[in-house]
Amino acid sequence: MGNSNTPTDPDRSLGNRFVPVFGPIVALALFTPLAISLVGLWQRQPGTAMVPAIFAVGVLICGILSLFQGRQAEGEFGWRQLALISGFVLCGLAIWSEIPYIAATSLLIALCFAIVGRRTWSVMLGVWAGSQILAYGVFKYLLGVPIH
Amino acid sequence: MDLLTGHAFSIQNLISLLIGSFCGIIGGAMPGLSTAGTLALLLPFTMNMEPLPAIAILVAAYTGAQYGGSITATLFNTPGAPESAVMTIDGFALSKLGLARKGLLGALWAGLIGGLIGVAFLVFLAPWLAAEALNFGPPEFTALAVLGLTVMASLGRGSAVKGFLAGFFGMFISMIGLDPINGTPRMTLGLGDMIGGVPLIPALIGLFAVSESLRLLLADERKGAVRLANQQRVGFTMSDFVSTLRYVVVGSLVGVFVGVKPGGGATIASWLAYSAARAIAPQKDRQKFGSGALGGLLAPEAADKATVGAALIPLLSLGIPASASGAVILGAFQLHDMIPGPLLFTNQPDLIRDLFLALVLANIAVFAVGRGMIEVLIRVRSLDTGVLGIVILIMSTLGAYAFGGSPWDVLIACLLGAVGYAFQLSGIPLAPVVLGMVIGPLFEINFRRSLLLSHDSFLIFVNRPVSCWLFVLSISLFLIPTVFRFISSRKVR
Repeated sequence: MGNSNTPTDPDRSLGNRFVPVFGPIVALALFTPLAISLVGLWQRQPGTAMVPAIFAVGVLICGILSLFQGRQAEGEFGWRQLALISGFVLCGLAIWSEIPYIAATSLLIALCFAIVGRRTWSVMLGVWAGSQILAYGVFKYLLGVPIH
Repeated sequence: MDLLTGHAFSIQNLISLLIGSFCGIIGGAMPGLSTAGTLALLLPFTMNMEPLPAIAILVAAYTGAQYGGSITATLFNTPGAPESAVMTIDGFALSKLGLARKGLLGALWAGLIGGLIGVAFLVFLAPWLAAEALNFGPPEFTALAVLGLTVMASLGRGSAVKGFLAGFFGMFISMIGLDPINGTPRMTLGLGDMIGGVPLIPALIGLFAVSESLRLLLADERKGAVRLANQQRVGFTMSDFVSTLRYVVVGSLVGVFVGVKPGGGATIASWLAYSAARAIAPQKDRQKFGSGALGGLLAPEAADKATVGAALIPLLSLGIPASASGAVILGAFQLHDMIPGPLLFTNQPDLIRDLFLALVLANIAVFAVGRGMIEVLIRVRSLDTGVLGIVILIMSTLGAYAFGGSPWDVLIACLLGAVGYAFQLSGIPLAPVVLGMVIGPLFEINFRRSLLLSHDSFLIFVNRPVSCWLFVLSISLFLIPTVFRFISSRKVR
């Protein structure tokens, strides 16, 4: 239950031997643009850039070492995973771009059900309606969160 | 009398404790949703509350989640959280014998005793530690932050490098935004939203709630109906209580001593408590361990609960969380403009007193709510993890939105959720990321202040005795396990 160590389906997998290095690659990918911006700052204000630079060196060294550790993956990565994570990040970007919350989350819920498999209409509509009531009814109107 | 008229006993606080207990037990019982994830999901709901009920709801949920994890471990052989894994051994064996009710009631008692022992240590140790910490200056706090760094290695689940990677990553992203000394923007990539930095609470929601819901969604399995033997209506009797009391006390003490150490955590405590209980059991009882011994369930449960109070000792007195759940509670303090640490004890002694009382009440509330929920949960036979994952995912986006009312927070939760999922796939622990996000700013501001005080001389860290000892302790904590691992690997060869 909740354990993603399910047998790998070779037809759907995206090179699962690379899964153990996904984490370090993601960390280094996010780190790179930030570190580059730090180089410019170092030339202008070394005091401001000093401590972030220490941590940057730590991320770089540990990230590279982790790439070579080659331990076992703790799950598989296939098309389902890629679709869901891309869809979820796009949902975040859509909300950030001021696309209405109801539209972004409705598409996300539809994508999720496409990935986990169809359930009964009452369950699917219940999840959708529950999420929107919570968002617009409780958070927006009762708690005053400015959800657009 | 003053105690009884304090805020801890207000109706609002008591209701918060009951709600927190209920949500915690349900969250803890959900396989895949960790205690920290449960707390991260609850956190945004406490935004508009008074500080004490807000912290109380989370503390009750923290305590409740520990018990919730044991319920699914006992009934379904499926731990709701890693710290409950050990309870599958004797808990599920009891279920198969039709004695789940007895086991779960016993676990409630063990949890209550363990929780209260943990709180007792918190009440005595935290004020003392906070009083000592009042003498700390920037060099001591820098050394304390470095001590926190060594903890990251122990959170690396066998790989210190991965623990450090996660920790440094958390520290690095905590540096985004304005320089705390001179206000210069840094690493903002030209985005206006980045000037505010990476907010802790959306980051917590992303790392714990989102990444766990993604795992649930992608687990590719629906919880099948686990048919259990018909459960007998056998309760936990006074003779059971007396015969298992020693396991509960030993488990509680193990929980306190492991839980107080940053990075120690409930998982290690529960396994150690199981071993300790087995070691102290009489010969005839020892043979029952693994096939339905009450002591094998109760000792880890007591240890689990004792870690809650113990983990709050470094958090309240020094402002350093000992676990990921502690980091979420720290987030709750920050949400209400409070900074845990020595000054909290001198500036807000009433709040501290009420908080201690709330912790005692939280344990009692979990006992009461848990007692009522056993009869309901014992009838649950199936759980659809796919739908559960979708609900948590949507709740996470809402929770992040509610934190600051800004879509930027939602994007942060989504991005860090994806990062957390990738980290989990690669066996990189998430707790050091949060620890790094808390320690990073603490380290920076005190390190730079120390250098300003000493006119850029690093000797300030060595010349001050407490700072010097903390650095020595940090180096020892890092080196000793490494040396032991090296020696044991040589012996194996």
